[in-house]
Amino acid sequence: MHKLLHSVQRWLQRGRRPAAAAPMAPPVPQIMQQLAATQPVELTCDEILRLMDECAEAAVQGGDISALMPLFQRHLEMCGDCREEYEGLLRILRAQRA
Amino acid sequence: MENRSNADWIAGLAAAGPEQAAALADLRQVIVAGLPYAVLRPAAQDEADFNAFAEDVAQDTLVRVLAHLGTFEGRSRFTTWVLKIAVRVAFTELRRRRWKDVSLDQLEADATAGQIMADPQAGPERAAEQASVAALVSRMLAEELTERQRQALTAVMQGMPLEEVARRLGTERNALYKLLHDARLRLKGRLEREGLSAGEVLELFARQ
Repeated sequence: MHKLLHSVQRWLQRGRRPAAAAPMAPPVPQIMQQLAATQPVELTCDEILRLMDECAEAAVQGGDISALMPLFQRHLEMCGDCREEYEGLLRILRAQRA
Repeated sequence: MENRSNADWIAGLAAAGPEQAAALADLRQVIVAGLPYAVLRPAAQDEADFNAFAEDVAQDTLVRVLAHLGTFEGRSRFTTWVLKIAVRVAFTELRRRRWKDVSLDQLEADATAGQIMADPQAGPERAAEQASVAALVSRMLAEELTERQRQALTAVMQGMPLEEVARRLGTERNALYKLLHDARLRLKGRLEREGLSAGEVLELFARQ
């Protein structure tokens, strides 16, 4: 961790140009979790919507979506809106099967 | 109605007169019966209010289904495809209601006011490291992102749904996701150029 501290201190001492905007207080862990999960290529919300019915049916039939459709699963981890809708659809399909 | 095949649904909805009316009535039932499982009714909400909401969602969904019938690809049951649309319509409306009084400026002001960066339980050395990294992240946000990306990221980090952020920025959710993806890639690239990784920083903030 000393290496990390040293890197940060060195960077801060470089006298970069002033920030373009007043620095906000970033929720560092949240941002880092998002960056850690960021992939060069990700599905968009429209692509998720197109796949959602098919994936939900596969999931309620016991399919492992994270293995079958890893890009779909990764998007859900990044996008609360799509995750909320997918989980809602899953609840309906499970209720229909019960 | 449960026994209709996909082809039966399409034929019924594409027909005219009583045949279409019957298919629409059946489909409305499917939507109204399913919605309570997707959208859990808040205890405070009156059942009649929820039923009215479900009817509105069903009506809006049926209009969309008829308009986009030709885009159904047959990759799922037809009713699952319809319910997917209904769920989106319902959550879009609920998000709009829930966030209607919150502005992006307000969220940005809240974020700037919340200057709690370092864990007060951490030792002085750890607290200093956390504060240094937080300062670095602040500068990265200011230098790498556009004003629009910063606003969007701030709002999403504070829990505002993408749909609502997009509405306030005059764009659509899909375009906003791409904007945020680009922002994340920029920040990740900058972090790597500084010799750091997200995992290392997470470890710094996680360790007790």
